[in-house]
Amino acid sequence: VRIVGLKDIDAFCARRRSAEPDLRALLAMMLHAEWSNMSDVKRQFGEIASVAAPGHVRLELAQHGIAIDLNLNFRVGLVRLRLADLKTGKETLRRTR
Amino acid sequence: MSNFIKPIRTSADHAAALEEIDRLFGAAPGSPEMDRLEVLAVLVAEYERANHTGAVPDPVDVLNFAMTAQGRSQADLANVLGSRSRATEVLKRQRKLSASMIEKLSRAWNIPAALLAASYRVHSPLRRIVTKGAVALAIILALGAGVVGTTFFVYGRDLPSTANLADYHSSAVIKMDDVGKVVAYRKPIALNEIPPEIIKAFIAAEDQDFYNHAGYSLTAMARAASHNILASRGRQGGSTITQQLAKNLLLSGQDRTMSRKIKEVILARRIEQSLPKERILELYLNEIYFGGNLYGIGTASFYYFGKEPRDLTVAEAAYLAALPKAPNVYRLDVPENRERAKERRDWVLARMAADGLITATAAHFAQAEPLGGLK
Repeated sequence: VRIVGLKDIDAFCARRRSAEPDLRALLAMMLHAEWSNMSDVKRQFGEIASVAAPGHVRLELAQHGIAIDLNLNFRVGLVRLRLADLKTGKETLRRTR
Repeated sequence: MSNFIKPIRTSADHAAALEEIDRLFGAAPGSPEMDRLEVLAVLVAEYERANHTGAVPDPVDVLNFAMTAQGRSQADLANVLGSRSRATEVLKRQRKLSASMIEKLSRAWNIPAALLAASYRVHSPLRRIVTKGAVALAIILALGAGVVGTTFFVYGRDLPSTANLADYHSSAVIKMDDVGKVVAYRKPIALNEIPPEIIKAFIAAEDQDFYNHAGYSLTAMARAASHNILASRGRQGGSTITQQLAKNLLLSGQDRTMSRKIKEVILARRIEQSLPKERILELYLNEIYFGGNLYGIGTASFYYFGKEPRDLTVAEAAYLAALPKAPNVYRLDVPENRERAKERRDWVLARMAADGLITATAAHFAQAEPLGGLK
């Protein structure tokens, strides 16, 4: 799949080094993934993944206090990624830029 | 919306393209918007890949994250890898993932094999031991340096000055009895009156590294210490000529103790800093004790052989150099000493030849000479 929105992950890693190993591992796994439906996503990240809406998965990284919202378009093979603060539920995009 | 798609070169282009992707995300399949979304996705993904700062993740980090993300335990990992100890060692980075482990994990847990096959460093037990050993050694060395520094500071404070040694003249009269009769005397000799054979003999016998050290020799002291620990008799001092001079001139009368040894080393260093080697040799040869009431090479030469130092043979010079180690054990005026005195003299000659100070032939002929001198 193609992932867009990596810049926010980079910015967050720079701000919180302790989260970097997990986020790098997550990204690497997504970049190598060959998802064709939501079940594939759930199979790979079942413990932290929840389907918020059709084509929308939330990965909760509770240990780092963040969630990663994924918008998936399987037809194009595209994942739009956003970071969210688990406490406020808001996107951390603006703060991490 | 313009049909033209700009290449993404700046972060502003990137932000604009991302916003457009968000707008087009739900585009109907087969529509022009969907086509545009696909092109934008390619361009943005390429731009981000080129500007992405992330390094290749460590395989153990990937494994740990996969376990968290899939709700797996260490026992689950042990099941895949075949043993609990393997799982523990992999997670502690004490063991590399083998090709078969990677293949099993990739298949069972859907972890891309390429991520698990990346290179990473393992902490072998040997490496840990070496690291801990190096740290312990560094601490010991630092503590040792501190102890040595403190010891030298404490012992070095109240020592006699070496400043006057440059102009020091050895006294001719050393000891008088109760009625004022001279019982021990010295005949001071200038260095230019002492032939090279005598100097070579003393250097071979007492301090082979004399011209290279800075007053003391750690090697000689370590050798002497190990000899004293291992051998049941015959204590060694490991003192250089400079240390012996410091002891004779500046620390005379002090008992043979560790504290005197430390003072000797400190004073020897100071003497070497203030005097040339030749002057040190001259003072040493005039101060050294040769048994009985004899002090200095001039007196010993005259007493034992009836000659000035410049007239001594190599064998006689070697005999005099043999004396400082144990003057009263090797003195010629005690008949029972003669055998061991010759042994010691011959050892000095052999040492001179071994050090290249005389030829082996010269040593051989000198060893063949009788001791001579007093009988």
